[in-house]
Amino acid sequence: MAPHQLVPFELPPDWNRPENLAPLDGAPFNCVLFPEGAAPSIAAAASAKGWQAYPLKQAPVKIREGVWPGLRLNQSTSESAGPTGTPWLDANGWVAQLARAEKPADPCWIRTEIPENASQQPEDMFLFAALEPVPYGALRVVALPPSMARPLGAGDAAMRSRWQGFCDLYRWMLAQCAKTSDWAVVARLGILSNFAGANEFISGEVLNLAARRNLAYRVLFKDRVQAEALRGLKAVLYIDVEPPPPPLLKLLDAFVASGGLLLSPPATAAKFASARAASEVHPRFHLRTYGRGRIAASKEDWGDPYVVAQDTHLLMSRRHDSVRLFNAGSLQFHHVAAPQGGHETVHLLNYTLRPSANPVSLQSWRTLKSAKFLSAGGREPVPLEIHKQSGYSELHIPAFPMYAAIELEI
Amino acid sequence: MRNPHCSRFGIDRRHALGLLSGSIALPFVSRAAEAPAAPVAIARCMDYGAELTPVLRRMFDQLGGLARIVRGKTVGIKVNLTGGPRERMGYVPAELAQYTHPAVIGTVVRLIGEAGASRVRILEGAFACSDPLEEFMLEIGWDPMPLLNAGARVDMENTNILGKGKKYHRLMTPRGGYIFNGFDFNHSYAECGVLVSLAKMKEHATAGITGALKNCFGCTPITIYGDGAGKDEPSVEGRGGRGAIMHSGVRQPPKSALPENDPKSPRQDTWRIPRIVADIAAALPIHLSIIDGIQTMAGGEGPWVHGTRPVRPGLLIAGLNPVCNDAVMTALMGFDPMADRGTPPFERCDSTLKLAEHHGVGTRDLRRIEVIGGRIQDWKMRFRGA
Repeated sequence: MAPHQLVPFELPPDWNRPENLAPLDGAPFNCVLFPEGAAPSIAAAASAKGWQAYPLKQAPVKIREGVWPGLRLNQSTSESAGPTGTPWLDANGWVAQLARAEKPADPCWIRTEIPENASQQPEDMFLFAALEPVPYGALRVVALPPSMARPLGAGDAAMRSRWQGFCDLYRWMLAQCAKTSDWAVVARLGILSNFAGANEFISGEVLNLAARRNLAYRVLFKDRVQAEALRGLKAVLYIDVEPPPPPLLKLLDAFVASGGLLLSPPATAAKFASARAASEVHPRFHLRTYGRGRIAASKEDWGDPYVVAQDTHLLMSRRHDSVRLFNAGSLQFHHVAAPQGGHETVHLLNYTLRPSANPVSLQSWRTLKSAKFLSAGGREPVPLEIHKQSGYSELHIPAFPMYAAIELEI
Repeated sequence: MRNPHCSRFGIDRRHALGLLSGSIALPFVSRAAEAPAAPVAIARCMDYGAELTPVLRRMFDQLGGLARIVRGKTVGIKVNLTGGPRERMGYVPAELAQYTHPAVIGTVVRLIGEAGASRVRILEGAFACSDPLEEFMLEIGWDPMPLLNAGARVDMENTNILGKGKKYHRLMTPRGGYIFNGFDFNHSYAECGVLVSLAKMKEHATAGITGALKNCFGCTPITIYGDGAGKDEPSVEGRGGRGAIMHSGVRQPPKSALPENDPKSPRQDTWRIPRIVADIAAALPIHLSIIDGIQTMAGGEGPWVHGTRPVRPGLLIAGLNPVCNDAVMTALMGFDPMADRGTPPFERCDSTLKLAEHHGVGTRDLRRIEVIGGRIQDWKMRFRGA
């Protein structure tokens, strides 16, 4: 079976007898990863059922470390606010986007150690964790906390019933998102780096915080970016301590000269010797004009990634946001477009795990022919009324607990 | 000495006596008797379409014409964009609930430009951020370009930060304030020759009503009065709301700004906010007050207040004195502008109108206010019953 077809499940440590595998019969998983020290009979039993079985450390797909998704809670369990003033979300979409850009031909798996306070987490968090990376074309190595794994492995009927629901929804999600797995992200910003070494932290955090701002981006790897990858972008954020090599510099030169915005550290901006100072003043950037475009030269090397993401968004302008969501402080979206055009999907992930108290609206500057809504587990998309205003259209999104897709015909 | 019976709100004996007697404990001589009166124009306007321009033009004419107020002047227009730009009351766009509608802003900008203003600046301390006001409007879902093109020399500034100025400007309350004797503002408020408060007709959780007076609470820069303000100096970036220094008073502004007069005064926001609003009104003269009451919300100032709902009063109010203006607005909302703490809409808070009147800013006594364009009793609605 090809790596792309594998759906991984991490065997709980105390499922050490072949009969413990029974919950996986008919489940959507076909690749069992067993922990160090697991009984050989378990691997053999899994193989006998036609599944692939590997030690966790020898997984057939590179595993990226992620976080358990959700609202970060403080000690009083109230929703804590991040620097944006909205509740802080732990999310993995950026990890998946980075991995897929790095190795476009490879599948991406995300895994996180079971948290110490797992018993205090709602069961739905583990289901949501499984669903979360799927719209981004990635999979989580599904793992269950002891509070779920033990009764499930022991054949507890109530847990079996809930597990069945978990598997049904996960299977639905895999099928739903398969339709858009090769669609391109709708974004006007490219974030360009080697995403390694001295650039790894700041570039990763900027991806994370840009996503938190609902600032969509294409991840661009410095060593393989082509002119085609810059097509349609309004801005490129260059997050790399080393100036671009000559071929890349030539691409960026053409991008800016034709009207794009380049945000870069001082050393890279200095390569554009003929750029002229612009009249605008910015506290953290020297703004220059170059051809029909602009260069925003950071006055210092990149510092606070939150500020970098914020400045990038504002210098590029929210005018170029692909869609805008209202009452969506605990949502993230992933907006993708069909390669042949005409159809787009906005995947919505609700990190509160419960339907929003305040209904969410989606605003698009585009002319929409039709819009449909499908929430997790739904059979058929429901048509949404398009509320046309001067210059934009709005959709009123029904409440949903974890995931919904908005299918747009453009 | 603290009164143990009032310790829940941190109200001391001196202030508690004032509350219990139904009057406001004033730290200085009341100027209510000499508070000026000015006419207020009211008009029906059922939507934000073509009707808006002639109605506003007529109202300004009823007040004596805009030209005599704005000709040759730099005019600052403080709009009301309270709360986050992506917060809505259900599916209702913010401009039909908590925000001044952009059609009203654009029309006012255009009419002020036509009346001969040398420059118009649209001003707001955009919620908890330093973003350019144009970007904040884009996040609301508005296009700022029609507003910038509504007159010859129009620009915008987020007055939460130093912005285009080189320093903050201190404006003092002429006879001392209830809580602050003066405030440090963004340069725009000091440089404008005319300040317009372009507000929304709403109730308010901690001030009873929002209007031209409460709108100017948002003039205070969050680099000085916000939760992320510096300890000694204003912060460079503006982050957070005005909770710690203004609402709850758990900390003082930076040392560079004037501190509270009495750090031992009550920390209850329903005591503090009306007073701070009155102090701002005394320090920052408002030359023209305009209230968008065409479509708005009842039950509070924003969707974060429990139980808010959309209402459509279909009213515009304009006047030359913010207290008179807000008094008429209060009456049109179905309340008594002479009401004191404990009586709607001031059940939980002190009356900003009364406090501003005692500062001598303007009268709230309808018997002294000439209402032009219609009769309050004809257009009065019941916000609490809406």
